Formats: sequence, structure tokens, C-alpha cells
Amino acid sequence: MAPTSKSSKKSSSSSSSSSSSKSSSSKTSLSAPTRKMSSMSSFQPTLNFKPSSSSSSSSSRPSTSTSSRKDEEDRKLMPPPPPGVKPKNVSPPKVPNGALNGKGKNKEVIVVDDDDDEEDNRSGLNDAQDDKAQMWTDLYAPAIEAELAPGKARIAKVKNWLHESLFGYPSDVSPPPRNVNTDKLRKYKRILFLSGPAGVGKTTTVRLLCQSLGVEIMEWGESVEEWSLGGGIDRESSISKFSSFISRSSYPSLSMTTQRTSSQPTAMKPRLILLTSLPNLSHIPTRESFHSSLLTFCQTFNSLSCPMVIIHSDAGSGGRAEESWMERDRGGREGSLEVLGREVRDGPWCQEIDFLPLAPTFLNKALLRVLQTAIPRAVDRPSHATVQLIALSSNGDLRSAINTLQLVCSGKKESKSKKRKSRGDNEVEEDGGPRKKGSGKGSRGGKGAKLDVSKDLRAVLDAMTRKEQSLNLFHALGKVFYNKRLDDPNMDDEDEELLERIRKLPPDDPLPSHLREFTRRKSLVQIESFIPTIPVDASSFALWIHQSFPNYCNEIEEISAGLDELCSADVMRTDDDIWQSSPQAISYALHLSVRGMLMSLPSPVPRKSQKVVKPQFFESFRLERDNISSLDHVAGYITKKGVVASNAFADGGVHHELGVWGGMMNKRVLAGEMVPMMVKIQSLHGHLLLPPSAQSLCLPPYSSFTSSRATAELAAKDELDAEDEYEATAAGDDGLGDVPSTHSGWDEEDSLKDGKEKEEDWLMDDDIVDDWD
Amino acid sequence: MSLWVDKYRPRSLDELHYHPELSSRLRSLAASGDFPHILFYGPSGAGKKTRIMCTLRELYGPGVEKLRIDQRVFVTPSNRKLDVNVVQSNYHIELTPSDVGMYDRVVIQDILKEIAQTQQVDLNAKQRFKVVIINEADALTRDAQAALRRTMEKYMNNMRLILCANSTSKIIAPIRSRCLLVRVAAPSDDEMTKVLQHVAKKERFSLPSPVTKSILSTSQGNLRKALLVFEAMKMQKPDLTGDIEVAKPDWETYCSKIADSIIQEQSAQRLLDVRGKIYELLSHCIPPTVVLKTISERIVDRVDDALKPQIVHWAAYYELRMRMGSKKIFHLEAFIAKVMTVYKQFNMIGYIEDYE
Repeated sequence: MAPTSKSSKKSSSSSSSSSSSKSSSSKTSLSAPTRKMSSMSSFQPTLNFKPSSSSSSSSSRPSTSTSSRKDEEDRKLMPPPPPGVKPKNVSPPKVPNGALNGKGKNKEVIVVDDDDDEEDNRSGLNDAQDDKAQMWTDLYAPAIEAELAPGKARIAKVKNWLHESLFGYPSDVSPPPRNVNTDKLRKYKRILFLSGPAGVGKTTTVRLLCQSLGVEIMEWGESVEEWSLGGGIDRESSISKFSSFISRSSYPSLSMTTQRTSSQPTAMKPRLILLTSLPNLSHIPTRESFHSSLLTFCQTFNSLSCPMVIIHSDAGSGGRAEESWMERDRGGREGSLEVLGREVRDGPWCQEIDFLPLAPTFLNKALLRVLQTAIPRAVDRPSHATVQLIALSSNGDLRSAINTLQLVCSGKKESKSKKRKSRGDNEVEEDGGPRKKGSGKGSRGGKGAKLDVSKDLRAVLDAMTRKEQSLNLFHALGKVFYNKRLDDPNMDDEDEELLERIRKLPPDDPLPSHLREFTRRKSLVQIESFIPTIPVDASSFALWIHQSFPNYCNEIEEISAGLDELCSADVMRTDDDIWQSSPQAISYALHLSVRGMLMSLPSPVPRKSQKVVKPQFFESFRLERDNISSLDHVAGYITKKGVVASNAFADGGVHHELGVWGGMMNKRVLAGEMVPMMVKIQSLHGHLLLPPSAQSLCLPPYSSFTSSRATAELAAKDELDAEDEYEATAAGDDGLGDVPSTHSGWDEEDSLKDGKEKEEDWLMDDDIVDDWD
Repeated sequence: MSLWVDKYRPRSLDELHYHPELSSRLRSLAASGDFPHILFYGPSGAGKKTRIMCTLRELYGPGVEKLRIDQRVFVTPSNRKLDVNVVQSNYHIELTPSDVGMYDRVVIQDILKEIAQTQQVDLNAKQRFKVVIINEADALTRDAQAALRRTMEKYMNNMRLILCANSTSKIIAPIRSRCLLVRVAAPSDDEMTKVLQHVAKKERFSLPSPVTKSILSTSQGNLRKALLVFEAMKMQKPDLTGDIEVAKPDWETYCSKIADSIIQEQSAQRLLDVRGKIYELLSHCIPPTVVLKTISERIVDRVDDALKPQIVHWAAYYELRMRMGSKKIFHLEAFIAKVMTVYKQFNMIGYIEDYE
């Protein structure tokens, strides 16, 4: 074998043990898609694509040989590598030609049958030990469409898109006659953007569908190793490589087609570009050139062009309480706008499909399927309850769930011999640390807690799968607002386990007399475990708290105390903060606002079905930005007018109506003095002083207070369904960014009220503007 | 049609109505041929800009009134493009670098270098140097001020700076020491009356003294505001007699109504109502510090003497925090909640405990 390229290393590790030809082929088939362009590009840095494997089962074996042989020929046809590159990759594989399968696993191009999968697992039972070397996520990837974990509707959507973009007609329609031009539809199906959290099966779906459609995948991934390799070569920046990759791949590959036409002249395989890892988009020039190359890709179309699928795992903010100033500037995580650019996203070529986190039932199904194929004997399998617990605790991430499952199973096997002993050990540990158990809490973990799983197993699982589960925003806010403490009245619905745990905590030391007022009963909010589960950044969370917490107080004193804490959190700075708060300061601030709020809220909190409302701050901030820009406009207008008048003066024209230039106007003065007074004056004597854009700068008339207002209310229920939960989180995530603008009712009412009379005013003014000019 | 503020703005140092010593000093400076860097400072509406323009006219003659607007594009090190509007004549250039926020250093450096490296080409020019007017010098970042300091020394030959600021406290000492400090104090009530009467005379009507009084009391030494209010009142009631409402900016009315409602009721619901109003003010670009100050002044006017120091204390306390923090609304609201608390306690027990 040729242990030269990255990919072959990968597969060699898996196949080091002697295994049946079939199983090895399946392994390679699964490792093949994970290989990146880099393996090839290390050989020839400018050639960044490789055809990845996919073909139907029946023809796979022969085509393995042809493609590998062809591949070798391709290499020979290529220009010699520049000096400085060791030609190690070109060395022919040492595997004898006869052993096709053995050879295939080390080749760059492997076309294998994925349907072997099951059969292989059945036959290769005894290799279970060897299989451990490989991840189950790769080994037992779904092989048929029905096994895919994501929802049927989404898969159908993806499939339909692929079909339309590749063949020009929907998948459920019979193919049109040959002479019909199918390019019309294809022209506008250029980019498919799949987004969603990690491990929900985006890539798997695309790969599997491509396989079933017989599509060749050309994958592009960021390669790193060229930095170390390319001593004498001119290094291309990765983004320019990307652009050239895109432009090249829009043409049919020459060598391959000649090969194929010689062997099978009729069929030209449709191809597809798959982008799984993206360039560094936070670097602005990179992002711009990425966007422009995508745009060119969209705009240049001929009948041979292939579509592109971009897969983007959005990281989410996983409850991190960090919010650096740079991130805030960009509005948090990268959205489709960030990745695609405005022209492409809003253009006709692009479709977005959003994958959701997998529901525990789906996960459960998938896990059981994996388990059935991986461990043949039902006795050896972990219990259903365990599987269920894993499914519940993995936060909708199938990949991590399978990895956990594998870990659990492998651990079991090893510890079997000393089962008794280890069990005893576990129990000892268990008693030692009360914090170890029950981390499966949270929105989903509540159900998990009732599963019949032995304590020690749960502890093991907790240790392994302990991921920061994020609560939904309203849940998190509710935890703060309701300020539950031990021995509150009406505590029947509380989780007994939690209560028990809190009761076990040592009692607080009594406070000295001058601090008596700060004595509180024990809080049910476990700050240390609660803080990481907050789904939005610290400052957004403070805003949400700020917006709604007065409703949960009885007295103004409590509100005042709470607001003081929010203020202290807001001014939290460390010494090195010049422009923005450092991560440390931010996490202190978050602690301060949460703890301070719990301290100042009354206990028990009055329950009068208060509403949790979206912070007005976002809307106000947006308005302020708009007003600043119209203020700029006004400033420009006034300056222009002043300059015109001043020039008239300088030319000697002594005109009584001209103003004397008094320098540029300060914005604060403009907003506070000039504009309000000019609005008054111009409405009185009917001469235009301000441009019409200044209208937004007028304050609405002061309305006397009304207690009930039709604001955009989002009721805070403890259990929102998953969809709402997701949206609410997303809305809060943006920080100051693009929060969907929901007008608060009174604003609109007021503007309606005086809108009419204002309108007439401005119309009149507009007439005058013509006169003036 | 232009406002009285602009129409009756003095064009030369002789026409200025108040601070005659200052005017004569500026005149002799302009004549001496050894014109220094100057830092004009003083409250808003005291006539700094007017004085600067008059001085420039004294220096260069009427040619300095031949203005043009330029939009300059600056590129930051991180490749961001900044648009800055500048107003310039052949002899001077005026800009407000603080408009671009933290990138003001780039603007300062680029523009000063450019001006300083070009010689005066107009042979008829009275002075060999050009003047750069920098507005809102106290809003410049530290970086920008440091950059300014260096250029001030380096390019003294063909450039003079005129800085304009409200207070010198935010200007770094090296700059202060390199400039001639010129304080333009707010005009006294008599001086203001003189100006108002001058305008009334020009507009050919007589100004009744109760009107003058009410204008003076609202404008608090801000001549620009006084003239604006004056004009609005004149428009409202051309004969200026009888009971006439003082034309204040809307936001001031807003603030005093907010203050009234704070005193009226102290509850969570009232706080939420007030919050809506404050958001309204903030979204209309009224600076939060001004909002806080106006509200607290109004409250101080209306409460018991024993409470007044308390209110002022808390206003100062929260204004400082507001400047340190980032979310203005938190601090404004905390101030209001604190005032409500203090007021409520005072009403309940009749006296007030010492504040922290």
C-alpha cells in the first residue's frame, strides 16, 4: 500500500488488521467520503478536486478497477510536479493488481458498494474487536434513504432539489422527452444551502442521495498541510484556490470524460460540488472574494455546469456567556447571509434548507438500528433504557449520540470480567459526589430522569455525554423570575430529586446583624449549573431580564435594588478593556445580573400570570440608528444651505434673508436644539427649513399613561414546543442584530393619530422646496 | 429664508455684542502675524463658532467665506471606508472627526498631513498658513488626541489648528499646553437682553420685558437657544403680548412630564410606563445624559428641600455609571427607580435616612 497521502493513512489504520475483503471494502467506502481534496492537492497543488465515489452497487467492483487504473493514467497525464515536491505520491501502489479490493482501499478513488454494509456486518461479527478501531458513525452510516435520520419532508426537499438541479425536472415526474431543454430549471437551481446544528445528518443525507441518484461528488475542503509541504511552490491563498476550483469545476473534466467516453460512451455522470468546510469568512477580503466567486458561479451557467451544495453547521451559541465586541459587531453566529452574500442569497439561484436538531425519538430509532448491526447478540447490547437516555442527553446530535453509544458498548465489553468489582467502585464514587448525577436535567432531561437506568450507568453517561445543554430562553428567564426557593408554598410540582439535593446542602452560616436583611432561603437555582445553560449572550440576557422583571416585583424598592445590580453588571470592566468588555468581565457581569436579580426579587414571587416581553431595546436601537442617519441628512442639508448663503455673501451680495455661516453643527446641538425648534418655527411660518427626511426626528405627542398596551408579547410558558423555542432563541441570539421588528402597538397608534396632520404639513413644505431651489 | 440665529450672526469681530476684550485680543492676534494654535472652549451656544469664523475673516478677509463641501473618504487599517464631510475654503478646512467614532485618529492623521504638506498656493493670501478647525475636540479619542499632538509640533510652519470644545477636561494636557486657551463664557443676562433687543430692532418690533425674562430663564445662557425660542414665540404670537407660552423643544416638555409622573406615583407599572417614554427620547437621539439631567432638575424643583440633595446625589451617581456602562437605559431607569424609592420612603416616614 502507499502510505503517502493523508487518506491512505486513515484507511490503513483501519485496515491494519486482517479482515475479510468485503469488510475492508466497506470501511474504505465509508472513509472515502471523509477524505478531503488536500490529499490530492498535496500532490498537485493547483488541482484541487477529486471525484468522490458513488455508483450503484452492481457495477461497483469493475468500476473500482477502471477508475483506479484510469486514475493512475490521469496522474501520468498531469504535468510533472514543480521541483521541491517529492514525487512520493506517484509511486504506484504495491498491492498486486489481482487483489482489487485490497488495492481499492488504498486508492484515491474508490467506488464501492454501500449496500455491502449490512451483509458485511453480519459476516464480520468476529471482527467486532477490529471494528473498534473505527468510529461507528462511519461504519454504520445509513445505506438507504429510509435509514436517514432527518425528517422525511426535508430529505424529500433535498432530493427534489438535487434532482431538479441535475436533471432539470422534479423527481416525482416522469422524465421529459430527450429533445426538451431541461436547462431552464437547472439554470436557477445552482446552490443549495443546508444549515443546521452539527450531527443531524446534513452531509450524510447529501452523500446518500447523490449515491442513489448516481451523482459524482466533487468535494472541496480547506487543506492545511500544504503549508508544510510547499517549500518551493508559490503558495496560493486558499481563497484563490477556491475561486479557481469553482471556475474549473464548472467545466466538465477533460481527462475523465475522455476516459469514460472510451469505455462507456453514452453516459456522462452528472456531477455536484460539495462544500463542507468554508474558508475563513470572518476575514473580510476572504469573505468578499468568496461571495464574488459564488456569484460568478451562479451567473455562469451552461448545460454542463454542475450545481453546488454548501453545508454549514451553525455553531449556535451553546450557552457561552461570552460576547466579544467583534462577535457582537457581526451579529453572533454566521448566518446564510454571512456565508453566501446578499446577492447570491437573495438571487434566484439559491435555496436554503434548514435542518433541525433531531428529536429524541428519531435519535432512538437511529441508535437502535446502529446497535442492531453493530452488536448482533441481543444479550450483549446495552438496555433500551440506556439507549433512550443517550438519545435524550445528546441534544439532537446524532453523531455524538452514536459516539457515546460506541463508548458505552466498548466499555462494557472490557469491564465484563471485573463487572462486580467495578460496579462496587462506581457506587463508592457515586456516594462521594452528589453533583455527579442528574445532569441530564434541562428541557429534555426531565423525562430522562424517570428512565429506569442504574445509577452507576447514569453516572458514567453523565461523565461522558455531559454537554452543556442550553435551556430555552424563556425557561431560563423563568428560572430567574420565579426565584424559587426552598420551602416555597405550592412546591408540589417541583422535582423531588432536586429538592432532595438542595436540602442536603449544608445550611448557610447566619449573617451578622447588620447584614440580616440579605438573608434568603436556599435558592432552587443552582447558579453554577444554570449559568452555562443560558442560551443567549450576557448582555442580551440582561436586556431580557430588564424588560420584564419589574412585573415580578411587589415594591419599587425591589425594582430599584434589581436595577442597581443590572447597572453594576453593565459597568463591569477589567483594566485591559479599552473598547469592549473582556470575556472575564462579561462572565462576572452575567453572574452579577443573575445573582443580583435572584437577591432582589421577592420570595415567593407574586404570580399574576405576568408576561415575558421582548426587550424594547432592540426596536429603540433600530429607531435610533435610523434617526441618526436622518440627522446626518439634516446636517448635510443645513450645511449645504449655509455654504450656499456664505458664498453669496462672499460674492458681495448683501441679501437680508441670507444666514451667516456659523460653522458645522454639532449633532447633539442639532438633535437637542436646532431640529426641534426648527420644526416648530417652520410649522408656524410655513417656510421650509428642514428636509422632509427630518420628519422622523419629531417626537410623537406625549400620551398620558395607559396601563394596558398592545405590545408584541411572547407569553412565557414553561413548555414551548420545539419550533417556537428555536425561534425565540434565534431572535435573542442576535444581540443588537437583526431582530425581527415587531412594532409596539402604541407607537403605531400614535403615529397614526398625528400622521395625518403631519402629512399635510409636509406636503405643503414640499411645495416650498421647489420654490427655494 | 433663514433663521434669526443665522441671519443676525455677526460676521466680523467688530459686530460681536459681548466679550469685547476677547474680541480685541483676537483681533490683535490676527494682526500680529504670529498666530498660535487656539483652543476655544465654553458652554454650548456661547458663540465659539461665531467667534472662530470672525477671527478667520480677520485673518484672511472675505475670501474665507467662499466655502465648498467636500466628502472625503478615509480608509482605516482594517480596510473600512469612512466618509467624512468637510467644509473648506482656500484658507481653512473644518471637520468633525469625532463623527467617525473610534476611527477619528485616521481622519486626523490623514487630513492634517495632507494640509500640512501642501503649501499655500494663493500668493495673495494674507497668511502663509492654513487653518484647520476641529469641532468637538473633547469628543476625540485619546489616540486621536495623541496623533494631534505630534502633528501640532511637526507642521507648525504651514498649518494652525483651531480646536473647539465644551470643556478642556477631556483634552489631554499636552494639547492644552500647546494651545492658546480661549474661554468663551456664556453671555450674562444683560448681554443676552442686548442681543435680543438688537434682533428685535432689526426686525422692527419692540420686545416686552416679560418675554425677555421668560426667554432668558429657559435658555440658561445659551444664546442660540434663546434666539430660536424667541423666533418661535414671535411666530406664535406676533405681538408678543399677554400670556404667551414659552416655545421649548418637545423633548424638554417630555422630560418634565416624565418627572411629574415619577412624583405622582411610585410603582412598578409607572416605572414601565416611564421606560417607554425614555426609550422614545433615546430613539430620537436625545443624549441620555441630557435626559437624566433635565429630569432630575425638574424633580429637584418639585420636591421637599430635605430631598433635594438626595436627588442630586443620585443623579450624579447614575450619570457617572452611565458614562462607564454601555446600556444607557439601565442607568436612567435605575435612577428613576431610586428616586421613586427615596421619594416614597420620605413620604411614608417623613424624614430621610442618610444615603450611602
